[in-house]
Formats: sequence, C-alpha cells, structure tokens
Amino acid sequence: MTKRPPTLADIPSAPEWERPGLSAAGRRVAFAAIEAMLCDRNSEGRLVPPAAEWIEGLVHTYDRSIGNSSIQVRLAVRLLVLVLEWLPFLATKNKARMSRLALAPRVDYLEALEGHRFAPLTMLLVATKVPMLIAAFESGDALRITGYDRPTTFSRRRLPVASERSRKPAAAEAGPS
Amino acid sequence: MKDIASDAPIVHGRDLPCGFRHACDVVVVGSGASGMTVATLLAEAGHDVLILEEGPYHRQEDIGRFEPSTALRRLFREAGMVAAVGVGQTPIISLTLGRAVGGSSLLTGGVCYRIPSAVHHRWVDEHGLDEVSERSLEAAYEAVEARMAVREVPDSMRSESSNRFVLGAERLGYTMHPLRRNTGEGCEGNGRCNFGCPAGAKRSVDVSYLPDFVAHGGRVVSDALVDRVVVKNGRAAGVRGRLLGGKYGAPSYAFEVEARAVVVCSGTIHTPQLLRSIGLRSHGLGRYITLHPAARVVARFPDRLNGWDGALQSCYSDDLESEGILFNSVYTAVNVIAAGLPGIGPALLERARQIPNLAMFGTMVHDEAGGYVTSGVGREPTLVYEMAPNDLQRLKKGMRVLSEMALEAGAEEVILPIFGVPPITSRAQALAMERDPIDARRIECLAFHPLGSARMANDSRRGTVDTSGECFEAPGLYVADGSILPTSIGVNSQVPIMAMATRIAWRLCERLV
Repeated sequence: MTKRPPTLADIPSAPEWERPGLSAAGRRVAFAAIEAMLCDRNSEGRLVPPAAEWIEGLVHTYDRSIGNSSIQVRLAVRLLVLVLEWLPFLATKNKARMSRLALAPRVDYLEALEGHRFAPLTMLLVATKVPMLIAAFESGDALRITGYDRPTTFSRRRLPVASERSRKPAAAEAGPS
Repeated sequence: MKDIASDAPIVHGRDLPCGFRHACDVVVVGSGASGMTVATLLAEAGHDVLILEEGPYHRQEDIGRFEPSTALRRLFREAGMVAAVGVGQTPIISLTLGRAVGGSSLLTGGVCYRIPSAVHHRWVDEHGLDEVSERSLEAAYEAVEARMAVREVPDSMRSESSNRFVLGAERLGYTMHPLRRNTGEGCEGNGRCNFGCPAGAKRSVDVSYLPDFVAHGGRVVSDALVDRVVVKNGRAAGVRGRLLGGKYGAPSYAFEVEARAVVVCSGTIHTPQLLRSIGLRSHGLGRYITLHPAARVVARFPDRLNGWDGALQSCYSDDLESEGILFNSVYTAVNVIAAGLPGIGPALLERARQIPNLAMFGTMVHDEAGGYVTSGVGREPTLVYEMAPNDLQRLKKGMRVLSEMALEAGAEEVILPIFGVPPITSRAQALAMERDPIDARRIECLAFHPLGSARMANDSRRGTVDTSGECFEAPGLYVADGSILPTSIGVNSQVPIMAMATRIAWRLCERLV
C-alpha cells in the first residue's frame, strides 16, 4: 500500500524547548521582586510572602520568555534586573541589595520606583513588573482573585441556552432558599 | 544541498536533518496577513509557491488552548516584549508583533476597517497614486472581506465593559458604531482574541487562507529565517537564510531558494533590513514609520461588570477622526489586566480583586511619521520613534475624552495609563491631565499597526516600491506588507494590508504568465 502524503490535518504544532534566559543571580533577583510584588497582608496586618513554589514557577516562566527572545532582549533584561538589584540606595537610601532586603522594605522600594518623580526609574519597574507577573494571575487561586468566573483563561464562555432562559424567571420567583 | 527533506505541506524547519536548496515560481518571505494572502492567490492561479516563515507553526486548536503567557512565548515576537526606543518626549510604546505561521493576524482583536476615504483621496491628490484609489481597491476589499467572513458585531455581543463607555459617550454626545470583525457568526464573546480564540471563530489567515494555499500545492517552511535576497543579472532571483528553532545548542542549517519572483512580507520593522541586504538605498527605506500609538483607559464602577463576557472589541467612535483620534472598545485577558495594574504587594492584589468592576476603552492616534529602523546588536532591528508634540496632545485628548465618558457613565475612578499618577475621580482632573505638561515617558502606549518603512510611490525619488509593489531598484523583488502604505491610515490595518496584497498578487499573476 502506498503511503498517503501528509495533509494539513496531519501537521502537529511545534514543540517548545526550554531555554534559560537569566543567570542564577538574575533568577534570585526575579524571585525577590516577584515575592514582593505578590505579597499580601494577613489578618494581623503583617506582610506575608506567597508560597515559594508559586514564585519559583513564575520565575521559571519569566526565564523561559527571556530565553525564547533575541539577544537584544536577553541583554536588556539582564541589565534591567541588575539595576533593579542595585538601586535601593538611590531610591530609598537603603544600603542593601534588593534581594537581601526584608519583605517590607522591598515593597517600599518597589513602590518608590513605581511612583518615582524620575520617569526612567518608573519605566524600569514597569519593564520588569508586567512580564514577571503576566503568568501570576492566569491559573489556580490567583485567577480566582481576579473574580474571573471560568475555570481557565481559555475556557469558553458559557452562553445561556433557551431552556435556561425559560427557567430563569421561575428560579427568580422562588427566591432565596 | 538537496531539496527540502519532507513532503509535508507545512515543514517544521527545526526538524529538518539538513539544509536545502529549492526552486519554485515565487518565494514569499513571511506568512502573516500579507504573505499568506499573496501566496494563496498565486497558488490558486497555478503557480508553484513556497512560504518561508521565521516563526513556528501551531495548530489553531492548540492556539485556542494556550494560556496567555504561553501564547506570548510561542506566538509573539520577543515574547511580547518588543518596544520602540523613544526619543525626547515619547511615551513607552510596546509593539504587538506576531512570529508564527499566520503572523500578527493571530494576535489581532479581529477588527476590520477599510482605509478611510480621506486617506485614499490624499494618496491620489497629494501622492499621485491613482492606482490605489478607493475605487480601484474595491474589488480587493470585497475579496478579502468575503474570505475572512467580516461581519458587524451585534449589540448583544457587546461586553458590559463596552456598554458603560457607550452610555457615557451617548450622554456626552459622541456616537458609537458597531465594529466589523473577521469572526463570521462564530464569535461567542470569549474576550481573548489576541491570545487565540477558544471557539476557533477568528478567521486569522491560518484559518481563512492557509487551507486553500495548501490545497493548491503551496508549501510552508516554518522556523526559516531569510537573511538575504539573492540577485542575479540585476534581478531578484531567490533568497538565502538559515533554519532556527532547534533544541538549545543544535546546529543551524542554511537554505537557499531560487524563484522567478521574491515577495517580501516581513512586516514594517523587518522588511527594510532584508531590502538593505542587497544594498537598496531608495528614498525613505526604513524611515517615516507610523505606529498608531494607542492607550487604554481603565475605569472602576461600583457594580460588577464581568467585562470578559463579550466580544473583545465591538464598537468605535470616529467623531474626532478629523483630529486624528479614534476610539475603539477593547478588553484583554484578566491576568494581563492584573499584571498592568498599579501597586505593589497588597495594593496590587486589592486592585486585582476589583477587576470584575473594571471597564476599559482604547484611543488611537493617526500619527505623523516619527519612526525609523536601524540595525541592532543581534539580528533584530531596533525601532526608534519620536512622537510629534501634536500626536502627544491628541493622545492626551483621547484619554481625557475616555475619562469623561467613564465618569459620565458612573465610574468611581479612572486609572489613566500614566505611571505614578493617581486615579482621577472628576472631569476637572481629566481636563487638568490634558492641559498640564507631563513627562511623556510615564505614559504607557501600545502600538499594533507599524506602517510605511518601504513606501509606495510613482518614482524612485519618492519611495521604495511602485504601485504594483515591485522595488524600483531591484526588478523581480516585490514588497506586499504594511511597509508599502504611503501614509498612516488612522484605522486598524489588517484589511487594508490584505487588500493591497491582493491587488499586488493579481498584478503579479498577470506578469508571471
């Protein structure tokens, strides 16, 4: 039997390879930054870091994004991360590197950058914050924080069907149980 | 070197065991909106066509199941981190560019405009380009719109996010019209077109053209970066490049394709680099780039809107078109909204919890040509852009009007895309934002439509290509992407680019007989 030539339906998607984009030091800085960006207050009003595994996953995703980019982006990000690490003294007069700051001064530092009157410092924060956090709210409990009411970001919208529409008034009449 | 070591219609270049040498009638560089259009029409006319695409191939059903971060890595150039280098008082402008089979058509909100009549008139009256008048493009527009199933978005498909701005617009006397989109009747309002449609409704070119291209014998090699046009006896005779995308550290194989015609569709940012590879230095090559800088205004309402339920883009207002300002409804994936909200730590999470109450709308500026591309450190060109003071003022006016619409509709606060500026709560504050000087580098801008780096003209002193898309300085070398548009058009550019590409393909068919 002769082999049928492949058709469009036979072509699979290309796989994605793992390519590191950050150095080990860069990943540590990214971890420290993301941890501060996503920390929350507990019932006593204290800052609590998010789960380390979650942050590790976000650093990994960020690293892959950088690794899949061109040499220009890789170099630019390495420079940004380096500056982010060494800038606390300029922005908040704190003499430690960002990754060695405790959680509260780290949050203060990043907030100071975001609202800094010198626009390039604000740009520095934005250029790192958005790509680092893109994956943060796209699944699991973090997706629930956004109030999104579908199971995943690629779940299809559940459109009301005719039978549901006809049931709705009856349910409304019944009132809360 | 042998021919392509695969008989598949789409060849993953990364999987090839060696380089290749191939001969065909026409080689098309790039598989986006323009490249796929030209290639399909030529293949349907019986020509042997090969598309070389730098990015990978992904099946549409897989794309519809990508998380946004996955889509960014696998479909977007530079994982979505392309930005223009701003000069002087220029906002941060990030560009959305595709890098996959289907190109940027995979990443659009599906909005389909035709070029406004005033722009066509300008091309005819000021540039003498009678052949791209509104009337002469009519047949091409119709062909493109039929294939892409362009339909008006029904009011029922508008999200509550858009509805609030429509309400505010009505109260302020602005008129909103339904947008036309390439989703046929299949749109479910999943609200994430730019990261792939879970319902498969968006007819990007890998859906609307690729199957016909393949059915007529056309072939695509993905992961194939063309870095040089080959010229023989003063005519373009093919291209050379290398295969990308293999495992980390794997060898990169070279390829060469001979063809009677070369059609470059690499996009406004990358096409000049390829044309310069053979020494073209025509007027304006790589210069006079327009971007349609756009900004999103986010408003918080007291009630829950669930703005993700509805078409990503559904309506627009062109009431300020004469001033070069357009308003388009817009939304995006919730995680992307959250990542861009102001605040660190608890403040950011508090904002993220308010997303169900957020509405957003966009403004876009019909800009002056302030950009140029230059060689960068590696293989990617660098886009440098200087925003004209008038354009900056228009952008601020657009943001002010959108803020007023939101406040008029009952918004409690408006988050402007200006970093470090607190949300505003009154129309007086919106007016102050427009009036007072501000460091433009704090403004967060987006650009989706880079145009005009290899402009069409009637002679070589004014542009790079003639009205049939052929380079003045290199016969046999055609350009059919957004780079050839003579000016900014002020509206979403997918259909205009595809209509121009259609016209160029029809001309090329006549010449290749």
